[in-house]
Amino acid sequence: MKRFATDIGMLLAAAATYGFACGFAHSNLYALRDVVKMPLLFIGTGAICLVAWWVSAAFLGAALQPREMVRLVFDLFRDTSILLVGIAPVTFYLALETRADPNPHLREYFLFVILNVLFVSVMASLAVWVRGREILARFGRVRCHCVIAVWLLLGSVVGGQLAFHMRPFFGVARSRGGHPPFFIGAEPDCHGSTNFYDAMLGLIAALVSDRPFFE
Amino acid sequence: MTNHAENSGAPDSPAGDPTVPQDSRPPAAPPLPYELRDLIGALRSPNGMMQVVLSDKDRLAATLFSGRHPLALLACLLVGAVVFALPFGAIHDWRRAWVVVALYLGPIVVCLPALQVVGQYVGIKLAPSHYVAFGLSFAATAAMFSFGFFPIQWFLSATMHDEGSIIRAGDIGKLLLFVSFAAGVFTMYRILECAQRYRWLTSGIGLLIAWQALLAFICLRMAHTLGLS
Repeated sequence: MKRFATDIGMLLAAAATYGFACGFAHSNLYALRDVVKMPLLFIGTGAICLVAWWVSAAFLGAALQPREMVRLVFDLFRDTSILLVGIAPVTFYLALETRADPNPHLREYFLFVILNVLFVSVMASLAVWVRGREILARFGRVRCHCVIAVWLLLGSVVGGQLAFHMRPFFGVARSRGGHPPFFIGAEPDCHGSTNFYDAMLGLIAALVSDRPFFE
Repeated sequence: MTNHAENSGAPDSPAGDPTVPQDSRPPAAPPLPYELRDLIGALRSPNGMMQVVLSDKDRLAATLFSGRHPLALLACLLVGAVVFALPFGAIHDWRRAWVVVALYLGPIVVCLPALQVVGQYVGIKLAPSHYVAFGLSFAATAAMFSFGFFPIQWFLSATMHDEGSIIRAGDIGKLLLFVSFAAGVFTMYRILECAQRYRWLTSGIGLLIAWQALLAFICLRMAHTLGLS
């Protein structure tokens, strides 16, 4: 129980630290909000994916006990948070640069967003890979890799949409000084997308058609 | 289509027999079927049910083809197919919780007689309870996957607005139901593969493919009727 409490504390503190660094690019208000939102994002993603991960692992021949599964999901997100603390100085430095610029180009904002999405994706994938292999190794290599691939797919599908719904994490510079809602939810983004999947489609379409997306 | 070696894990032909043209290796030791207490335990705990239906395909196949505790196995699969499918259907309206149950169980009820009649005709002589259990393994697996996906679908429905969107929560819900269906179909192949490996059956793949095409067609029609398409 004591270990669990320590782990919870680590997850919350680490995710909050990274959240602060992300939100600082916009304003102190966003930095403080992200202290709450980043742990919520991780815990929410884990909670929503838990059952699907459990069922898919069992189907692929890697049946885990429910308690084992809960523990694994918890460890995954704790590890992700701790890994992100390692990258938080980079994010914080970039945030300082962005914030120091009184009239930053929108492209800078997108660069900051994409970099941080990349950081979170890479760290989460690394945590899933390491923790997943640790606990799934007993089921064989191929099975272990299949389960991890399915978990990563489900995690990104859910995590992406949850992050989209919990916007704004970063916020464009021109909204500084205002008081946007805590969660924007399904309000359209600057490209008119109302969910994560539409946003991804828009991004892919822009890349394919060579249309400027980051303007 | 040839036939079967019913209810037996032993090879039909001795190794080295010149009349056996290929693959005369003795089969691996067959897995043990589930005991009655395992199946009753599965009825009591979701985790136990998950293990019986999803995890250990060899033991599920052994139980199915050995004919041991057929009623307990059928009860286990039926309860799994009903209980695990309820949450996904209840996401938008609890009064329509039965919809996903009907989506996966309905086509089995409709199509199973065809599998049994044609199977018997082409020489796959299994007991009716074997066919029913085989069909229910599809429904139970699909139901369990829908159970796994229901928190995701609930979350997507709660956070996505359909107006003006290219991808809607309903579309993803259909995709998740299709993935559940595909998992159920795949389970039938896994059971058949076990049955062939341990020589409880020596054929049936062609029949299964044709029957699953029929099952998919009826599932689609049923989805339309149930307002899921």
